[in-house]
Amino acid sequence: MASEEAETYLRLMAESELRRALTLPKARQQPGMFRAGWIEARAASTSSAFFTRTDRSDPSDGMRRLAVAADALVAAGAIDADVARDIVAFHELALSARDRQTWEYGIAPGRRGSAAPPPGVFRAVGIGERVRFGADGRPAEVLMLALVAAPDRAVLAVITKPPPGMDHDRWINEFMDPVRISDDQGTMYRRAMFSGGGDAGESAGQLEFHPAPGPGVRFVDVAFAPEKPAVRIDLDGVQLPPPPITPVDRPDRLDRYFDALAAKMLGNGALWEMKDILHVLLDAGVIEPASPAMRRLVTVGRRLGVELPRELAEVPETELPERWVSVLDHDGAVDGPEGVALATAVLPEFDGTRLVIGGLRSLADRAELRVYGWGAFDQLDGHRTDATLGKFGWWARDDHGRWHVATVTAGAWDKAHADMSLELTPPLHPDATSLDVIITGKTGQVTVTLPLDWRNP
Amino acid sequence: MSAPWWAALTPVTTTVLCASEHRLRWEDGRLLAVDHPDTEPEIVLAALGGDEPECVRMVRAWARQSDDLAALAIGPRSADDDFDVSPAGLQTARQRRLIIARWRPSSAADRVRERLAELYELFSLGQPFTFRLLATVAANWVDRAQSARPALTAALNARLAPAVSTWLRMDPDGVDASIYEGSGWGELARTGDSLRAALPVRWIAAVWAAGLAVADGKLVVDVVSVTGPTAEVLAVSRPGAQPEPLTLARTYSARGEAGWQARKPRPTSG
Repeated sequence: MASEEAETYLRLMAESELRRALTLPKARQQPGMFRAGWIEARAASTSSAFFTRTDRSDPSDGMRRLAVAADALVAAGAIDADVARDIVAFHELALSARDRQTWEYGIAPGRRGSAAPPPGVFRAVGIGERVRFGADGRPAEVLMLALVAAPDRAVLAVITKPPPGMDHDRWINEFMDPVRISDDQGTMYRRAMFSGGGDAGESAGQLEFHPAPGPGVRFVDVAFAPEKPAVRIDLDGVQLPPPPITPVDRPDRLDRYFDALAAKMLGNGALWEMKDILHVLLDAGVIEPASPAMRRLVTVGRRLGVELPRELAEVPETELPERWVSVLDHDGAVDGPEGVALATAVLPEFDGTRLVIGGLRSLADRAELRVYGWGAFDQLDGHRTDATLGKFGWWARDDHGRWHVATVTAGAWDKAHADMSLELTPPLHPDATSLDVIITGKTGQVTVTLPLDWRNP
Repeated sequence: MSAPWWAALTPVTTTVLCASEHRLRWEDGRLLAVDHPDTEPEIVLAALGGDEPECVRMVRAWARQSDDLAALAIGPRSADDDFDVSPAGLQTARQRRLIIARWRPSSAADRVRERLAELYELFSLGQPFTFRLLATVAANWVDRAQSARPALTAALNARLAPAVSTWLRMDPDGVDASIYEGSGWGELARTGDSLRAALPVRWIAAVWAAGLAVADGKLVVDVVSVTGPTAEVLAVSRPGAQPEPLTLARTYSARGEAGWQARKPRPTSG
């Protein structure tokens, strides 16, 4: 329930941050670190933020603190999202009118999308093939995870390894984007566009191509280099029947938020902004230190060695849900199988969203699930802080009983689409042959069982 | 008994390019198009889609913005604030569009953009008009403060904190201001490094906007009457004390900046 106290708290915080900014020199432009709209989140969870993070004396830092507080209060149900958006945006305008503008693009809370998923056929096909070719005379490779074809777009989920030392932009422009794609009906698809991110050693993302192959297309051929034969992707493969949507008892919003924060901690080990989030919720009177949700969070935090606010030092620990205990029990495990699995699934539409799982890669210390979404997502324009509550909660359990918390670690969002990379922690059991992925939304829950057809190309 | 909220605010005049260079004048709480003695028919005509003289457009914009709390959220906190939306400052319009476009869906963003463009246009009339606009906004919320208490609390805190910092030489973050909704002037209490203050919204309009917040080493809490250049106010010498009457005289610096100075009591003869 939105409260006047929480709104007042956020407005006074904006005021205090403005006063702080006015004691600082006027701002100069701080370049961001965006690549094709894809946001890397992993670094944010451990050492830095999604954005170029400057020292504590930059007006952008106050802006970020305010955005974190706004996100936390909205997610906890203590303040209306539109009110929070206004407060952050007016703060940004107040900074701008005093030449202390922030250059943290996208820090103001994002707009809510309202697009519905398009009607029609959605297909997802696992590929699991690695193509090696020469780029500038040096070895390069592309690992194809899956092809996802929807009525309005088609993407090829890939992990690429550019030649050592090659500039990322050059790699994308000269070797990824010119990929040739054709189908059994003689259609030559338009130039693909890569979006994603990574480092010098590896880029993970997707190649989007147009038009989307229609339901009558049986296969597409993908050729990355003229000297290499095309890889044929059969679109006529058997699709798993869509799993049912089951209703769930929704816990109190504040409990749900705290459990989501705990899940994020379980996934990431620590949240950069956790102390700020808890300070805000305690100071604004949104939660009591001794509440069950806080006790669960504190228990997880202590077991993971996360630094928590001092006022929580006396909060007693409590019993944790089974899945949390399982994740904690395997903290630090590095026994995951290495390879990719032909794990794809088309989920039924729920909560106004259509989700498609487009491949899984398993590593010794974690697994990565590629997910594509259609419809409205709450976070757009790159707005993400640790306090943001995602639209869905993601968990998974392998067939050896090991639970995994899944957190969105990178992605790109627009009004109608979401391209996400989820990290599963801890790694899969070394002998896992199937994985239940459990997605919980506002109106229900979907559990899809992914057979893990391992490929180790 | 208090003076009207605008009593200590002197009339101010500026010019805009209308049919020719025309005067806009603010006095007694209203913006007037001086060179359009009968604006009513022009306003009606403009509302029906007719041509709108610039002076009339500005008067209508003033009326539309006169209860917009965005003015208090963005506008100056004190006379020393680094606030600058002069015509030169309007070059940041592109940046504002970027800010607004990403926090509202496009149709709503268009409306917000229009509203803010108008607000910034009024800000660009200069500091004297900006302070009077903020006073107008605050005055329009005096009787319905409870419906926007968080925004008004922040607006009061924003302006009281720097004043208290000057008055008591304390950290402005130590000021805990709230909207006083009872009868009387309000309350002030100091505890350690913090000051709890409850003042009515009227304080922003009648006291702060007139540059009266701190005078003669005291915090002015209300304006009782204004006669010519002399203002009778209620001022508090220290937290916890009751306000006492104080007579202030308007002064002007060599650069023409208005201020207030305590009028020394005349020695009595005999």
